[in-house]
Amino acid sequence: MTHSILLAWSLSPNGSGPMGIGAQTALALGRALLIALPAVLGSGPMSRWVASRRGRSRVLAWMLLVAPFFTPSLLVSYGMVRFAIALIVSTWGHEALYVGVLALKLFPVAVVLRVLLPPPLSAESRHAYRLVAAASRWSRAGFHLRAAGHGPWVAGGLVFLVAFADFELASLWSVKTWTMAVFDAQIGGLALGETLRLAAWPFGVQLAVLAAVVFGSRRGRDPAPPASWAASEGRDDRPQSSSRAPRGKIGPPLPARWGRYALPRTVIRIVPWLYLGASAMLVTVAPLAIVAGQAAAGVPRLLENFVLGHELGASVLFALTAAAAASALAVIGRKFHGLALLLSAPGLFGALTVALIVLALFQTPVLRGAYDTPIPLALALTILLLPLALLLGALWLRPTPALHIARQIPSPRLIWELETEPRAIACGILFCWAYFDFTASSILAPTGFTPVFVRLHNLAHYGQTAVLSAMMIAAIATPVVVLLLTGTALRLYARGHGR
Amino acid sequence: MRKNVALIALAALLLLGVSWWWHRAHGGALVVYCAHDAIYADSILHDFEKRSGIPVAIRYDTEATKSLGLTELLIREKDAPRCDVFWNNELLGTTDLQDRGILQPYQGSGYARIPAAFKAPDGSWTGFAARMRVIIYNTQKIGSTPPNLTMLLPGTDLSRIALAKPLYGTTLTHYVVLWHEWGGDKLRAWHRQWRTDRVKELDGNAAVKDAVAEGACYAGFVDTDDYFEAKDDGRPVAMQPVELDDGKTICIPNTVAIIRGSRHSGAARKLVDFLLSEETELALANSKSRQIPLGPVPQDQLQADVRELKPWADKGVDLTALGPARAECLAWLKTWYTP
Repeated sequence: MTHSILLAWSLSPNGSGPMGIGAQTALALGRALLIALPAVLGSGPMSRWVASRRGRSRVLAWMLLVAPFFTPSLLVSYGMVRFAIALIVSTWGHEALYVGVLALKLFPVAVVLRVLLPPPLSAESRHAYRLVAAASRWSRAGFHLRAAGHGPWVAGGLVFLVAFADFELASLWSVKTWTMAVFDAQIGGLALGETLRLAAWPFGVQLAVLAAVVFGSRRGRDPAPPASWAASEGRDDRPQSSSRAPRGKIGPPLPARWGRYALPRTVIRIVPWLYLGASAMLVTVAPLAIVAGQAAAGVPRLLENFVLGHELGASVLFALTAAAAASALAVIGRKFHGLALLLSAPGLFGALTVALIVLALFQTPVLRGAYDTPIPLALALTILLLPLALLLGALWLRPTPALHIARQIPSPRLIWELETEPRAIACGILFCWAYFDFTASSILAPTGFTPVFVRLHNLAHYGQTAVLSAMMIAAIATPVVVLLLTGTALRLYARGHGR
Repeated sequence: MRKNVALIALAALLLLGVSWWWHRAHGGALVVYCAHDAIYADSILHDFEKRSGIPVAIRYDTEATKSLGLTELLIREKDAPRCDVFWNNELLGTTDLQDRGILQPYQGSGYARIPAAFKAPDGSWTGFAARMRVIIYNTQKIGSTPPNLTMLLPGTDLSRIALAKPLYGTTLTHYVVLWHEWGGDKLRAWHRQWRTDRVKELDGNAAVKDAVAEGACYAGFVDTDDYFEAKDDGRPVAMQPVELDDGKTICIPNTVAIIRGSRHSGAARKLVDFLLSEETELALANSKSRQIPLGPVPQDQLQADVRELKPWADKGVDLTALGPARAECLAWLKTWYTP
């Protein structure tokens, strides 16, 4: 593996020869491993820490955690363009920036999955094992591997898949990777079948990782789950206080030891906050502040001649459609686990692969009538949203004893709080995710109905200007306004109906 | 259960609504594929829309894949064309479409005012508003003497020299001209040598301009409009037109053509005449991109930058005969970049 990655480096286009798809795949694989392995290692302690937060501290921790993931890559690259340009001459510096930002954006995925899939054994049980277990390092390692459950497999696998299939950030920062090669081939006129054949190696890697995730997650379920695990999975009959009760309860509130090293309690308290603050600052706050600072001068000029209305409308409509469709399919998928896997698997292959396959489908004689209409893009966005929709469904929309009781009473207010509100929030997140899409939109958007981020992506190539920064802020503010208006309407409706 | 059914119904309704809206807005519109930069083309096309009352639906190319994406799309759609008018920002892709029989000849009032060197004899395409290929350099880093990049010796460290990926746009045209002038073997050797010498290959001309303007790279190949962007931003840059061994320059016109099988041929002709008019050439010349008019225009209405470029543009190499060179060069580049 190391050899093939070094080979890929040595054959980069800045070297003397062409860079084959195999070498580019190896390069992307190396990067994905660099991102996924630390994510797996770090997400365990972080997920326990996040789950142990209470009150406002909990809200703040979650906001800081997920902010980098939901920050559009275009905003990050546009905001950091000067820094990125300065690093162009240093291959390693440029590479480190790309891998670093991608890692910060994807770490929250691992943490959320670890919160959702806590280990089957409590920290107390593992501590007890440490006291009584045999000294063999291998048997201890084997035990800890099993005791971690399937959370690390799933978290690592998904982070790997998303990092491996990244196209947007890579294209914005001119990073050599297989998705860029496939895009070049497609744009360069290679027949779609040929392009997809070109992507056989990366597809193979993705399939292998997906199979490993499925295998690992099944294997991780093998140990008989103790009561604490059952409770966390919602299989316990004991009532819980609320559907939003912390699901990571099984771990200790705050580990006094990380591994074999005892750490001062203050350090343990501060480190997660430092990480969350730094990652949110780097990926979200700093780019947003830079762009907002420049936008102030551009807003009057933008308002004089507001040219983005059509694109904003297209983005909102596509995002609404895809969010509603993905939510509906996720609801169906939750009842049938096989179907859920089947539905979510294509979305895990990344936006570029999904968009190319959808394009191929709509160029066949059967579906050609719908080619160059809004249907292909709406379909592709729905497919891309499904994994997230299923994840959010699993995270927030599980039937809980509390909800069951609320339905039995029946209490509209509690049902609203325990079911309708989380569902609306999940839909809002899906809406934002679809709204910020660039890759699928750039390939499948119908003529004259271009989503806003495709337009901005093109304009961003001209460098930072006040008007473009104002456009960027308008594009980012639109989903916020839509969600605020919808949220307010929902609250008014709920209040009017005694909820 | 009822809520789930409602959600599914909502999704279906939204999809129908989006499709209906899109169809209503663009069902009868003149479809224009435009490889020219949206920030310059938008105002021209919307001006046409306002004056003629003909609705226009525009598909732009991405900055990174300038022109090649739309050219290839038109080839794919040959049997069932959706585009009515193709506004390309270069010439060679358009001549390729002409060779494939995708273009519908039209010789209107606009065609008549463009010199013969910049139009197809049968009216398949017509050129207008040109840009030049130039070397942009950072005056704070290398002073005010223009560097002669093509004469650099093998083994020179080129890590501070930038150029765009030659698979697309005007960098492709630049490569095709060199292929024609030097022959394939010499260009291939030069290209390989430059990669060995660590030249910075970036996604597009705009990225090259940024890298030079910021001082990360010292010089690079771009078009005149990229250079003027940096200059207008107050960056320490200067430029020198690329000169070939025989002293010729590379002057790349925009081209416009009607697609064979267009469903709105009357409206398409109106747009072609509008784009080839003196008014449009003046608008593009006096925009921030400073494009050089090819037809006759009152010189006193041109800004000084454009007037200075005109003598260089007159020395431009004849691009119309480079079709075979483009095909060979592009075939080789595709094997290089997507092996």
